[in-house]
Amino acid sequence: MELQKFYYDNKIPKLFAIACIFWGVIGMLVGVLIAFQLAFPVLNFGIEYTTFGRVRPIHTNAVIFAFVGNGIFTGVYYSLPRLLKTPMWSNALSKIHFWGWQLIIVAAALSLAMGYTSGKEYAELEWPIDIAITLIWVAFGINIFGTILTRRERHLYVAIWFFIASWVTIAMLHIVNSFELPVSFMKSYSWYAGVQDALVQWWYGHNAVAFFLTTPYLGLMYYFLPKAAGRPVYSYKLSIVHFWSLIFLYIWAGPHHLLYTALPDWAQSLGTAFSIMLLLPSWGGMLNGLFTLRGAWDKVREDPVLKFFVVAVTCYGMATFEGPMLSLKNVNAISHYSDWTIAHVHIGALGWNGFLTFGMMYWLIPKLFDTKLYSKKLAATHFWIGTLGIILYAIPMYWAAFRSYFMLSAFTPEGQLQYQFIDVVQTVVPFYVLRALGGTLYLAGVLIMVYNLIKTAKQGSFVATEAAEAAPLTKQYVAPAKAHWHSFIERKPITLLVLSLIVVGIGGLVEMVPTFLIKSNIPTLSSVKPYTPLELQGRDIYISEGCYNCHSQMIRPFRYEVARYGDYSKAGEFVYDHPFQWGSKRTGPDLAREGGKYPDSWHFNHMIEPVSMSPGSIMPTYPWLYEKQIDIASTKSKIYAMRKLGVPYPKNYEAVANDDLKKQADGIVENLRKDKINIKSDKQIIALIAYLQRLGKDIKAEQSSSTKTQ
Amino acid sequence: MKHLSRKIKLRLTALVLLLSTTIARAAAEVPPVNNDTNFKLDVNTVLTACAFLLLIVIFVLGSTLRSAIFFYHEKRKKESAASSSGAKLLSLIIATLLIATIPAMAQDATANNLQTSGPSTIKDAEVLRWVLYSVLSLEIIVIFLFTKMIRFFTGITTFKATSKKPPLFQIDFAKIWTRINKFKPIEEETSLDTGHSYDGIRELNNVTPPWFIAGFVLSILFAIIYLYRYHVAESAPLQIEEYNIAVAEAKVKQAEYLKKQANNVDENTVVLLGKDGVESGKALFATNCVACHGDKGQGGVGPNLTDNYWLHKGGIKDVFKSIKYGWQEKGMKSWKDDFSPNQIAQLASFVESLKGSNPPGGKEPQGDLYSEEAATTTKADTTKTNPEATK
Repeated sequence: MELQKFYYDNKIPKLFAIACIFWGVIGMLVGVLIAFQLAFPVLNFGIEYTTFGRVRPIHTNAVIFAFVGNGIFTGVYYSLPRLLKTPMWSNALSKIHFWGWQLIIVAAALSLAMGYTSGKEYAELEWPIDIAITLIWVAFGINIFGTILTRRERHLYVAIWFFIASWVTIAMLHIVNSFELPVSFMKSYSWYAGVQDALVQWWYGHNAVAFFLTTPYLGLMYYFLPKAAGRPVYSYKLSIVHFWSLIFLYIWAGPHHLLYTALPDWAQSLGTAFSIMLLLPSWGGMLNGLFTLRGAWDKVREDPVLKFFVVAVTCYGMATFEGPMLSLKNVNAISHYSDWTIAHVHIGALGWNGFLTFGMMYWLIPKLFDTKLYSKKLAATHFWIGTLGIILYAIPMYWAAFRSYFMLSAFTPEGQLQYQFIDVVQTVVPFYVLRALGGTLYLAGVLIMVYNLIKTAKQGSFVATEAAEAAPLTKQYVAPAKAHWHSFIERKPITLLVLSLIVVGIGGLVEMVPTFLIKSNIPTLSSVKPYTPLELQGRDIYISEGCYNCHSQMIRPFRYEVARYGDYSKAGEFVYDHPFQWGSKRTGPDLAREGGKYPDSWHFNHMIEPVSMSPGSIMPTYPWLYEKQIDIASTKSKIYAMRKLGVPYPKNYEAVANDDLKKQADGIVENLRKDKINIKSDKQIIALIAYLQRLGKDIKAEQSSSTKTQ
Repeated sequence: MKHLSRKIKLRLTALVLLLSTTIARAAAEVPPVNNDTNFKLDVNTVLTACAFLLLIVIFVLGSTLRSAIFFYHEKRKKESAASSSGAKLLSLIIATLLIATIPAMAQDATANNLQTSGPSTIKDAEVLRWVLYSVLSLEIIVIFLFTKMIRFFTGITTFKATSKKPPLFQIDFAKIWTRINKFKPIEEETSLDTGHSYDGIRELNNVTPPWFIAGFVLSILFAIIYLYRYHVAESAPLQIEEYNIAVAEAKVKQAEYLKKQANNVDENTVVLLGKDGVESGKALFATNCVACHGDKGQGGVGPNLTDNYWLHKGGIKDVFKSIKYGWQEKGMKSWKDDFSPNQIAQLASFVESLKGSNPPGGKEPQGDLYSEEAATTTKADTTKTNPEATK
C-alpha cells in the first residue's frame, strides 16, 4: 500500500492552549477575589457586577468551561490527528469551534455579571447561550467524527474512547438539563420544578464533573503521560475495565448531592450505592497512570512535566476516594452545605485538572515551538508553589467544615442550640483568609508558568504544520486470531458512540422516569399555592442576584436543623419552584422558612446594611435594589410561562396580575412606613421582601390549621 | 531467665487488660454535647487519661527494655568469641536508636496532651478527640514494638540465625507491593506487549491488579447490601425515621436533665429575677435583641420596650411568653430553641427593668396601656391568641 503524505495542524492547538491559559488566569483571579470577599465583605464594592452572588458563577464557569474546556480542546486537537494519522477533518469547523467557544465564554461572563442566570449551578447560562453551546458542541462532534471516519489507524486508542464518551454524554446532559421555557430574550424558567428539577440538575452537575472534568482529562492523561514518560501504558485490560465501568456507574451517582433532602429515599440510596461502586473504576485510571511510570520514576525526579502528572493523578485518586466517602449518609450529614465540599472539588480542580493542564502545557509548548522549555527551575518552582497552594487551600477548608458542623449541631443540656449561625460564620472567617492565601499562592505559580511559557515560545519558532506519512486503511480487514474481543469495538467508532450513549443513558433513565411519573414520590400539599406576581418577581431577583450561592432552601431532617430553621422540608413544598433553589452551600443560614421570621423592616435594613441587623455578618450590601425598579412589564409573560409549565394560575390571570402586584407592594410599603421607612412601591427591594416573607409560609399555615382542628 | 520471662508475660497481660478496658470505656462513652458546669466524664478527658496511662506504660516498658538490652549485651559478651562483630554492632545501633526515641515519643505525647487540656471549646472537642485517638494509636504501636523488642532482647524469641537483618522491624514493602499488584519484572515487558502503537504509544497487557478486582467486587456487594438493608429488609432507618429517633432520644435526655435542674421555669411559673438575673439578661439583650429593639430598648424595627404600652401585655409572664414563642406574624421570632428557660427569664426580667427608663429617640407607643392590676383580671384571654403557646 502506498504511503500518503499529510500535515498535522498546530495552529488550532496553539490557539486553544493560549485561550486555556488566559482564561485560567482570569478564572483563578476571580476565584481569589471571591475567596477574599468571604473574609472581607467590603471587597464586594457595593456594586452589583462585583458582588459575590454574581461573581461566584463567573469563577466556576470560567474555570470549568473556559480553563478546563479549552484545555480539553487543546489536547484533543493535538492528539486526535496523531492518534488517527490524519489531519482534523475540517479546518473551518476547528476555527468555528475555537472562536465560537471563546465568544460563548465572553457572553457568559458578561451575562452572569449582569445578573442573567437560570439559577442552576454550573448551568447558569441563559437560553440563547445554551443554544450557542449546543451548536458549537455539535460542530466539535462533527469534526471529531469526520476525523475518526477518515483515519489511517484501524483501532481507536483508549484516549479516543474517553473523548467519544465525554462528547456524547456532555451533549445529553446539556440538552436535558437546559430544557427551559424562554420568557424574554435573556430570561427563562426551567422546564422542571422542585424535586424533579433538583434531580435533573444534580444528575447534570455531578456528571459535568464526571464527563467534562474527569473523562476527557483521563483521555489527555492517556496520551500525554506515556508520551512524556516514554513508557508503554501499563495495562490494556485495565483500560477496558475501568473505561466501561466508569462511564456506566458515574451517571447514577448524581443523587448523592441531595442526601437528606426531600428527594425520595430510594433515589438517594441509589446515589450512595453507585458512588461506592464508583471508587475502584475511578482508581483504575489512577493506577494505569501511575503504573505506566514504572521504570521511569528516576525521570519523575527531574522532569517537571512528569512531576505535575504524578501529583495530578494522585489528586485524582484522592478526590475519587473522598467522593464515595462523602456520599455515605453519615459523612454527608457533616459535609453537605459546608466548606468540605468546596475543599473536595478544589482537590480535583487545582490538583487534577490544574496540574494535568500545566504538565501538558510544559510538554506541548516546547513541542509546538520546536525548542526546549525555557527554565526547568521555574517550572519546578511553579510545581512546589502550586502544591503548597493546594495544601493551604484545602486544609483550612476541612478544618472550617468540621468546626462549623460541631458548632451547628451543638445543643445545650437544656435542649437549646448552643450557637447562633452568626457565631459559626465568625469562627470560620480566619479560615477563609487562609484559603484565599492558598489560592493566591496557586495563582502566583500559574503566573510563573505564563512567564516561562512565553519565554519558551519566544526562544523557539512556531511549527505551524507537521508533515507525516501513513498508508490508508484497506477495505478488507481480517482480525488476527488471538485479538482481544474488545478490539472489535475499537475499530467501529459509531458502535462505540452508540454503546457509550446507551451505557450512560441507563442510570439517568432509571432515576428520573419514576421521579417524574410516580406521584407518591412527591406527595402534594394542598396548602402550597403558586407565588403571587410580586413574589414571583422577587424570586427572579433572588435568582438573578445569585442568593442560592450562599443560602440553601432545604432543611434536612436533623434535630439541629429543625431547631434552627423550622420543620424539615417536604417534597410537596417545591412543586411551583421553576427552578428549584435548594442551593449547595450555606455560607449564610437556610432560608426555606424565612417567611415571617422577621418584620419587613428587618429585611429592608438588612439588605442595605446586613451588619446593622446581624452584627458580624459577611453578607454583601445590595444598594441597587433600592433604586432599580421592578420590571412589571414582564409580569404578564412570566405568569403565562409559568402556567405553560403547569403552575395553576387562573385563566387570564396575567391580565390582572400587575394589579395584585401593586396591591401587595403597597401593603409592604405601608408596613415599612409604620417603622419610619419611606420607599416607593416600585423598587426591587419590595419584591424581594415579598418573596422572602413568603418562604415556607404555606406549610406553616397548614400546620397551624391542623393543630387548631386537633 | 525464666523468672524474667514470666515477669514480662505478667506485664503483657496487664497491658492487654489495661488497653481493652480503656478502649471499651472510650467506646461506651457518648460524644460530648455539652460543656456544662457539672463535671461530667467526656470522651476527651477519658482519652487524655488513657494517653497518660499508656505513657506511663511506655516509660515502664522503656526501662525494662533498657535493662533487657543490657542483659542481652552482657550475654552476647560472653558468647562474643563465636558471634560476628557486625551483628553485634547492628543490634547495638538499633538498641541505642530505640532508647533515644523513648524520650522523644514521650515528649510528643505530652505536647499533645498539653494541647488538649488547654481551654478547649466544644467546637474543637471533636477534632481534639481525633487527635487523641491518633496519639493513642501511636502509643499502642510503640508499646507493641517495645514488647516485641523486650521479647527479643531477653531471649523469649530469637531471630532466625540465618537472617542477616532483623525482619521484625523491617517489612519488605517493595516485595508486598509487587505481589499484590502482580507486577512482572520490567525486563519481561516485551512478552507483555500488545503490539499496539498509537503515535508511538505502546500498550502492555499487564493483568489488572488482583486487589483492584477484589475491591470492585466488594464495593458491588456493599452496594447490594446497602440497598437491600434500606429498601428490601427495611432494617436500617430511612431519614425521617432517623430524625424521629434522634428527637425522641434528645427529649428523654433533656427531660432527665431538666428534672435535676432548677431552671425548669415556664410562662406560668416565672417570677421577676433579682439584680444578677437582670445583669445576665442585659448581656443577652446586647447580643441578640438590640438589632430590632434598640440598644436601650427604645425600639427600632421592633417596638419600644421602655414605655407602658404593650402589644402583647407587659407582665413578666407575658414578656417571657413573647420571647419564648415569638409573634411570628409581627416579626418577633420564637427564641425557645436559642435560649434556655432560665435565660428567657433573665431576658424578661431585664426587659421589665427597662420600664420607664425613657431613653432618647424612643419609638412611639404601640399597643395598649398595661398595668399589673388590670392584667390580673383579664388574664384568661392572653393564652388564646397564641396558637404555639397552647400546643
